[in-house]
Amino acid sequence: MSAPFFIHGFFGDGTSLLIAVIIGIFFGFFLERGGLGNATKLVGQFYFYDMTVFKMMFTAIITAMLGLFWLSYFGFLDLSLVYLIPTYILPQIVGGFIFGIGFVMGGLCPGTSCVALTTGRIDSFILILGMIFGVFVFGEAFPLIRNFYYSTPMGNATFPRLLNASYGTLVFVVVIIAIVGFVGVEKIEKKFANK
Amino acid sequence: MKLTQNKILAGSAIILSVFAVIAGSPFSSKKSYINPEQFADTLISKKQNLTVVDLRDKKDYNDYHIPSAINVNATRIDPSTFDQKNMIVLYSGRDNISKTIQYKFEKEGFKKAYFLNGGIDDWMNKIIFPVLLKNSSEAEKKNFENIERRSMYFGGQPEREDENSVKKIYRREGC
Repeated sequence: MSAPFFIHGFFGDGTSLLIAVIIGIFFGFFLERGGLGNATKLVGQFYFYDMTVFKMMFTAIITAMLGLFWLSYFGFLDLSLVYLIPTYILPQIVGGFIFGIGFVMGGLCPGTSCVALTTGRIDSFILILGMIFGVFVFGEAFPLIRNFYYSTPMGNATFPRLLNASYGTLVFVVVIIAIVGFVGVEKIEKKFANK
Repeated sequence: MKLTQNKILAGSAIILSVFAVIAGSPFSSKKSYINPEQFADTLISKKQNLTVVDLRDKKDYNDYHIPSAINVNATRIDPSTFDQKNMIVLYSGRDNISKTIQYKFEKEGFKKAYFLNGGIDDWMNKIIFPVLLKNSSEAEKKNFENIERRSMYFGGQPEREDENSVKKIYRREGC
């Protein structure tokens, strides 16, 4: 028995949705416990006085990366069956900028705004309304931006494929970047703490 | 030096990543996929008894399909109607359908069932419309002659990128 369980037919659509909800609740719980339901803390990332987002995201990345690598290596998971979102480099860069501007203005991203709402923060409620409005505008305007949306396609671009390096080497490089990053951001935090 | 929890976690991550370098690839040695180049060469050589299955819609199949492919609806496919002795290559669009169906065949005991890695998109980009980029190395230029020959066999249009040419990339709109 190996994952992905849904693709291998171990459970159907209904159960998969239920599992998604349970995973979502845990995801939200850990975001909130990590302090990421607080806009002030999140914005601290952009002013360098609180690097919790960096630390939490990189911890999640290396935990998931090492987990997926070794689960796949020992046959518990078929990584080739894990869906990768195709890369359209230019529209995704533009999307990233829009996302970043919204993030620094509102202080929350889509996930953390939902988390913040559970603790009764009004700013997150306004942000979620804005997010739904944005989704609506995007949907309605899609025919106009369709060509741009599908421009500069790169297929399932992954670093091992682009850099022609082994997965193992990249795992090592990312872990080293994360650890050097953790040490570095602690120093940056201290430097910007009282500014 | 005092061992804090953070240091232990960082150390564990480094140890696991060093072993990852040694392991190299997280994929199991038994390949469930075939790359477009290898698949094209298999088709050209005609050495194998090969069944090629297009799992896309009838309309997409009629627009274009890989030579010798048969069109079978993914929801109705029954591995028992295929010959286990044949090599079976399944392909679809930009999705996981061919991978899921390949697993179905594998579970039924098919030893030579593969899905086409990258689906029809990679087939079009790498076999039908291959492009030799500007500033390619001499080795790449030499290798491109083989790629061109292979592409021509399937009625493709290989292209050598220069000042006046525009890179062609096959794109299927929508998901």
